[in-house]
Amino acid sequence: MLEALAYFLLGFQLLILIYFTAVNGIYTLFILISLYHLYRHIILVRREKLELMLSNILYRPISILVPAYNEEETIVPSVKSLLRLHYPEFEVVVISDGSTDKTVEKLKEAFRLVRIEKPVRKVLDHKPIRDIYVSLDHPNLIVVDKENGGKADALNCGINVCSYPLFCCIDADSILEEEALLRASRLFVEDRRVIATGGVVRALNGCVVRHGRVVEIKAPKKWVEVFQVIEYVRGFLTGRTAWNLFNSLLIISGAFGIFRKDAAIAVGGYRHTVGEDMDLVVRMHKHFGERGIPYRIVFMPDPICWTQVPSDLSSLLRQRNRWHRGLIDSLLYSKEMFFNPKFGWVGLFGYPYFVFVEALGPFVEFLGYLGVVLFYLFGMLSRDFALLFFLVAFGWGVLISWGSILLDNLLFRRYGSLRDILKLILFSVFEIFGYRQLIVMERFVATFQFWKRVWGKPKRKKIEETHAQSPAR
Amino acid sequence: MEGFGGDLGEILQRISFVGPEELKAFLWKVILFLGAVDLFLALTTVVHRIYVDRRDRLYKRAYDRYSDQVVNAVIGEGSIDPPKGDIEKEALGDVCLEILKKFKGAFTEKVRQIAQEMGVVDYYLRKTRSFIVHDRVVAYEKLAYLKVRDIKEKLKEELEKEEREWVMERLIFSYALLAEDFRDVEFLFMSLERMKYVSFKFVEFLWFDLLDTFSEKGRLEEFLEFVWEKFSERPFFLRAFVEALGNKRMPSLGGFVLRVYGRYREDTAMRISCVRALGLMGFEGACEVILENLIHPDWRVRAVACRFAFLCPWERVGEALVERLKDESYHVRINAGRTILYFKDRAREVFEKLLSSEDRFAQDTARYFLQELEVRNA
Repeated sequence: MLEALAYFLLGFQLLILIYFTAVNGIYTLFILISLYHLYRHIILVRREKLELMLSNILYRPISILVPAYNEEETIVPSVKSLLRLHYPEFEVVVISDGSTDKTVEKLKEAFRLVRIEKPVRKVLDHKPIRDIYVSLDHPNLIVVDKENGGKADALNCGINVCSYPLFCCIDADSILEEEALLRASRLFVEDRRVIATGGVVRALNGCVVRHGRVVEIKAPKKWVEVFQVIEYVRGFLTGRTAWNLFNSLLIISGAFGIFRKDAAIAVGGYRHTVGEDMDLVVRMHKHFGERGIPYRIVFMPDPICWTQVPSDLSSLLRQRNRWHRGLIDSLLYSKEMFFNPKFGWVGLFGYPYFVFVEALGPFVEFLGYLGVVLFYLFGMLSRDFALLFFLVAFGWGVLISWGSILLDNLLFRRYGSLRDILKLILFSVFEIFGYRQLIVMERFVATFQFWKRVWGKPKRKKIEETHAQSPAR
Repeated sequence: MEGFGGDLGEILQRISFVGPEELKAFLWKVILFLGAVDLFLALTTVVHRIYVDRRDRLYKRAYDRYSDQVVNAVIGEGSIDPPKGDIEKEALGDVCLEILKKFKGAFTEKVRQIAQEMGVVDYYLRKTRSFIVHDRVVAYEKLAYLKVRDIKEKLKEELEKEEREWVMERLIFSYALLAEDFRDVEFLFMSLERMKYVSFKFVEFLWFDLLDTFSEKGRLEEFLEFVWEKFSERPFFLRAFVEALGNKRMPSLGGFVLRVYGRYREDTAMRISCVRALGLMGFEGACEVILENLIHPDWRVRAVACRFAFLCPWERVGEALVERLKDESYHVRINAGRTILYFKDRAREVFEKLLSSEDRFAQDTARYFLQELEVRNA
């Protein structure tokens, strides 16, 4: 009996050790891959004057879809910033998803909206449209007022209403950098296989915003926000860049992604799920892979979208819970891809990675923490080894975070002051104590709630207020 | 494994792959390695940041200094400190380029002379030999803005052997800035035709620069004839040329646009470009064309025609514009409404009538436009 217990304990330790080494090893490898690829990419656009970029303009017209549900606080500055984008031909389609506040009224007032009878071909299914408006000041601004059906439903409606061959979906509380569309859309003309691209999403909190533009980039003050800044840098710059290499990018953030309309329609548009952004991308992989149609889904490191991240813990936990449920639901929906060589790299590497590391990760990590507690309670914990193992985990975790911060600083230098950089470096150390465990716990809980369709909308702040909260130094 | 209970600890030791001391020693090595790497990363981040901040400060200081000095030197009221090092040369070069991009006239020669005398041109020439393609491309662009024509042959050679489209595109752009005669123009478009994909807007920019070059040389008429001769059967390039003509906003070029319009009446895209160009340049003889296109079956043509209908007198265009307020396309309706606003008193009459229209859109639009008229009149 004792021998069996010993074997069980050894097996358990080995499992945790292998998992820990594999996950951290992959992250470290991703940093190295990203360093190489980002450097090659950045050297092409670095110090490039905007007017030179504009003179080299390559574009296809784009429809920007902005689903909005009760966004009266943020919608007007957001749309204003979108209308100011540097792009030769685009339209902005705001879809008010049955808002119960003054979202539509505010838009009507700000942009002189006039009701029109625009015929809409219902290629994708969605809840009924109440009214469609066009702006007299900006004929390329269309506002759709429809019955509530969720974000996916609103986006499907937007796809039906929009006129251009590419569409870009962006959250109503996000701000795109002026040349983001120019940079991202180049890919669609340079390589006809590209069906979707996503850019970097960064945390808006703490930055100074004027007239719908980010004019000064600063690290936020609240600890919850700073931790998320580090997560975003780590996740976007290293993770997604590396997935590019294997054409295995499974996530394009809902906050900013550009898709070919025909490809989105071919897969049936957005599915009603809490992780509709990831779900669409996974189904695109499945659809094109199954049929053997050459395609590429690409991550671009330089088009930047700024988005508000939750500034309180409960909103953050709700958001992470939703993300994790969305992840599991999307993976289950396209389970045929699991270790399926028909889908190439994405079936053999990308999809299994998301299953083992992203979906099951919190479960394994939770088991590890539970093991430590139980072993301690039963007097079976070797303090020396526990301490050494903790130091390894700590050192490796810090390496991954600092590596990402260095990468970001070497190539993009977004944060304006050394003080902000030091703040990020310091908080990367604290992140390992408590914050990480909290997020793991929430994701662990979400693993057993994946069937739930509740969104849990986080509290939004008025975008212009960001300036007031973060006065310029 | 001293933390485990006695028997269990022994069994674990027995079945483990490595002994506890070996494992400890290994873990310590890993920790030291990770610590060293972490320290390296943190230090590199901080040192790099300090370095680039300093470089940016030096550049900005030099840029500000040269912004004043170059302007003063051009008007003959001061001298320029010779740049020390690459950062200062880069800053002086950028100041010169900014001035050359923004202004035209005799003093641009003086700016070019400054760039030559202060070693900026030599600095960029050195960069055209760089093994990094991006540095080479940027150097060519800057030299092209500085009109250093000595690089033309080298640029041509590079362009001929280049296969990467993004590099070709930028070399073509630089070459266009240096073009002197029609052979250069032919070479440019021959290179463009080698590319798999050519952006329309890019071609329009090229034509715009070429128009500048030949009008400065006083050879505009000759150039227009050359374009007609070589490109009248290449509608893609010709349409981009028409758009460029519109953006030049020179009414004297309207005759050429009418010639293209006559040749390509059946081509909707060309029609749109011609109407837009005539409208943008404010060509007096555009009225007939605009009237004809106000009733074109394609809404895009009607929308552009509505937008520039203010070039016609109200007596000729008024009725058609009011008719377009009921157009099936809302873009056409909005453009018609906005153009009617140009005819202030007539506009009031039209919009007041529309207030009692059964068309909801017409009512709302009229209300907004009447408000706008109030504001304008105030």
